[in-house]
This record gives sequence, structure tokens and C-alpha cells, in this order.
Amino acid sequence: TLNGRRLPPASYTALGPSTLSVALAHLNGSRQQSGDNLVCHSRDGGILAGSCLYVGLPPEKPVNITCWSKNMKDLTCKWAPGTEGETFLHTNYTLKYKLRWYGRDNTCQEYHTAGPYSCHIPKDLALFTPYEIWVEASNRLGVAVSDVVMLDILDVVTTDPPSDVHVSRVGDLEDQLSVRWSSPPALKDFLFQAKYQIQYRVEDSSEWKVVDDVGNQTSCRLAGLRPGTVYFVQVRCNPFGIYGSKKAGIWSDWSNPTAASTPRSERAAGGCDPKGGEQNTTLRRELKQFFGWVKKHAYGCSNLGIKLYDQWRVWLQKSHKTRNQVGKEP
Amino acid sequence: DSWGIFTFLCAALCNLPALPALNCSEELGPGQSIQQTYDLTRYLEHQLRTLAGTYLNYLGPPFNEPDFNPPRLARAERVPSATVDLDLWRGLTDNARLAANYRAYSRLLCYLRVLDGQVGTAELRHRLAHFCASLQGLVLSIGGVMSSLGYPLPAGPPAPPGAPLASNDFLKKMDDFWLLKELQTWLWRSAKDFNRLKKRVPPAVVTLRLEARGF
Repeated sequence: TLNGRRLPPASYTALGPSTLSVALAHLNGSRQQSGDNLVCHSRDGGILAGSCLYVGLPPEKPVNITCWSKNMKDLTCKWAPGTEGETFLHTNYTLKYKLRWYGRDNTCQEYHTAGPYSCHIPKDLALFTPYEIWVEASNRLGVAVSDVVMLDILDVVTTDPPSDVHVSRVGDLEDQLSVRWSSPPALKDFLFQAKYQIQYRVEDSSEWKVVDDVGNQTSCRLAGLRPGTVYFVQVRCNPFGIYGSKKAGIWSDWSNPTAASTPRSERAAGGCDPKGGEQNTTLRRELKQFFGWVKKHAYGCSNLGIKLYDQWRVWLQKSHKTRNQVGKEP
Repeated sequence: DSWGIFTFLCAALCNLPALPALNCSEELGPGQSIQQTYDLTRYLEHQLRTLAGTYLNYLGPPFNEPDFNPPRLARAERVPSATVDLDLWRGLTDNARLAANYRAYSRLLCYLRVLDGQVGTAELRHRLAHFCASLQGLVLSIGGVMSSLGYPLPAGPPAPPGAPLASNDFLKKMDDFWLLKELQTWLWRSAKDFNRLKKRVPPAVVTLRLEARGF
């Protein structure tokens, strides 16, 4: 049998009491990577002997090697397998690297850090000097070596997303929001010009709008927004021009989304900052109480939204009915 | 992972009545140890069903066929066999039975760890690693039961499996098949052993300890 299925008697002949000759043609690639099971049975079906067959193709050259360095401390590379060699036989991948001007090959040890075809080099990397990087794929039928990629760590630097992203209203303006963030701390000792990008979308849409020309400031004002709408905002950073190079680095991940809402026209006044303004309007007092309530019930400003405000209005009405308080408009 | 087991054990413990905020790292009476070991054995039985299913599919037919029964090769010092004369087994002292369990699982763990190093797919490696961690927990748990009953632990580390004996990949597959089969039978029988042992440990011992702690 081959993988549990009987072979046609024509495919084998007995050469002796304990030797069988089997000839198999037009084999498909191995059904499982542990090998196809070729088994010799006695008349009553019991197993006399077995062999594992490995049918497949030698690997193809791995392709599309891309690498990035987080804060110039390490290097992670990922690649794609060549088209076919992977499937039927188990393929081992080894990422190797060496300094261009020195002979010794190094082997990467930490695999699968960023997906199945990736490796992470955690330390002992030099800057300002090119590395040669390649991937070797090997299986039982052969070896394939990818093309060599040459890079300087400084050319592929990425960093953490900006921290402390705050989005707030701009006074009473209904169509604007102000975004503030801090530059990622890890690169503060290195000479570079950060470039930032902001993307934002309306709460119930999946279409992001990107603001590209933020430059290297750590604040930005979004304009042309819809009044009374909740927006989600994200920021990311590119360590442009590390050590005076004129080249861009690699964009960081986007920061976690921060939410804020633009004011609605009927309810004039109210902003996110509690300080300033000697106006003692009823509505302002109400909003101040609202934010206090939000802090207690919604774990901070990031879940701020008109819906939450409405929920509070409902609660306020109910408690007015029970407490019979005077002085607040419903 | 070990945290999962720990949580499971703590949950099992907390089912005992009238035990407020029991710190799981405190020393346990024999009754509680045995219950824990029993629960862990059942958990491993359950885990093994999934692991064996995945592994046998990886080995491919006929290994994953339900009535597959290959011959066992006569090899010295291989996987501890779970098939014993049941009367003989029941006739052993508690100490002897516990020691046999302890030794068997220690060796089975060694063999499984070798398997872990050789297996192809990432999913299988992950499952095997998880199972080995749980099995390690069982060995320690049995040790705990023996200590709490005042029995000495079996001497010395288990003999390492050494260089792989199978010269042929197919023979190695058969070895793997039998390793899983024996493991299955051991766990099935251990569950019964611990269940019986639990009934034999006098409950008075447990109550006494609770009273001593002022509950």
C-alpha cells in the first residue's frame, strides 16, 4: 500500500523471500511532509515492512527580502519562498549576513518573529557600513540561495509610533480638531528629522484621510471636518535623515487610534480644556459636570463621543425626576 | 503553558467546600494533592486526544486510520509499556504503584521532548511543547502526592533516550505511534489509580488540617 491504498499488483515483484521490488511512476508530490508511507503487508494484512517516500521538488530561490531596524538596535528581515519548492517537502530556511568588507558569514538564530518567513538579529550590528544579506532554502532534494541584498542599517531604520497622542476641540469651531503628540523617545539621542503623517476617519466609515505634509512639528490642526461627528485619529513617524543622510527611513506603525468629536452647532460653546474662560453659562457648567462624569464612567477622554453625551443626558433627566432638583434645564 | 495549568489547578482546588481564599502555593494535604493529580491526569487525557489526532494526521495514512495496529519492535529500554496484568497491578502497594507512575511519566516526557525537536510543522511543535509542559506538571504532582503520603521519591533521573534507534523513517513513525498509544493507556489507568487512592485517603486527615487552620 501507499498511504493506505493498495498498489496495483503489476507495480511490484518479489525478488526473494524477503525482498520486494517496487516501481512507481507518475507520483504526485508527497501527501504529508513526514513522507508517503509505502508499506508491505502479509496476506492477512499485517505489516511486514515499510518505507517513507519523499516526493517533491528542490526549493526555489527565496525572494523579496525586506529588512528593517527598530531604533538602530536590531535587524528583522522577512522574505517570501520561491513558488513551488515549499509544499511537498519540509523546507528549512537560514538567513545569513556578513559585513561587506569582512569575510565571516553569520547565521540568524531567532526565526518566525514577524511571520513564518522572518528572522531577527538582536545585537552586534555595525552602523555606517554595508551588510550583505541572503536566505538559503534547503530541503531533501537540494538547496537554493536567494539573491544577495546589500544594505546599511541606517537606511532601514524605523521607530515606535508617536506617544501621547491627544486630539481636542479647537474652542467652539465645529469643523476643526487639534492633534498633539510626542516624538518617539527612543531616537532622541540620534540626529534625525522626524516626519509625521496623520490619518483620520469618521467613526462609522472605513475610509482614512491622510495628512501628508505635517513635517516635523508635533501638533497639527485638522480642518474641514463635519460638525458633531466622532473622528478617529492616528499618527505615525518616519525617522527621516538619520545622521544627516538625505534619505527617508521606514514609517513606524500607526499609533493606537484616539477619538474626539467636533462640536455641534445647536450647542454652542464647550471645549476639551477645563482651564480658562470665566463664562458661567449653564451649559458650560453642565459640560464640566459631564466631563467629570465621563472620567468616572468612561475611563478617560479617549471614548468621548456624542453618544456618551446623550447617555448622560438621559441619566440626568432620570435623576432629576427622582431628586427634584431646581436650576438645570432638561 | 504553565500558567494555564496553574489556573486550572487553582480552579479545581476552589471547588472544595468552605475554603476561603486558599493560597495555591500553600502546602496541600494528601487528599487535595491526589485530587489535583487526578484532575491533571484527566486534562492530559483530553489534551492527548487532540495532540494524537494532529500528530497521526501528520504521519499520514495508515497511521491515522482507526484500527491501525502495527507490530511492536523488540527494542531494549524503550517506551515503558502500560500493558500489565491488572491483578498484579492492583496487588502492588500504593507506594509501588505511585513510583511506577512517576518513573513511567518521567521517561515518557523524555521521549516526547525528543519528538518535539524533530517534528516538522510549527503547529505540531507548539502543541507538543504545551503537552510536555503539562506532563511535566503531572510528574511533579505525583511527586507531591508521594511526599504528602510520606513515600520517598524514586531515585535518580530517568535514563535519556540516547541516539535515535530507528534507522528508517518508517520505523521511527511506528515508534512515535506506540509512544502515543502507551501514553494514552498510562493516562487512562492512572486516572483510575488516583480515583481509587483518593477514596482510600481518610477524609479525617483533611478535616483535621482545616480545623488546625482555624476554619
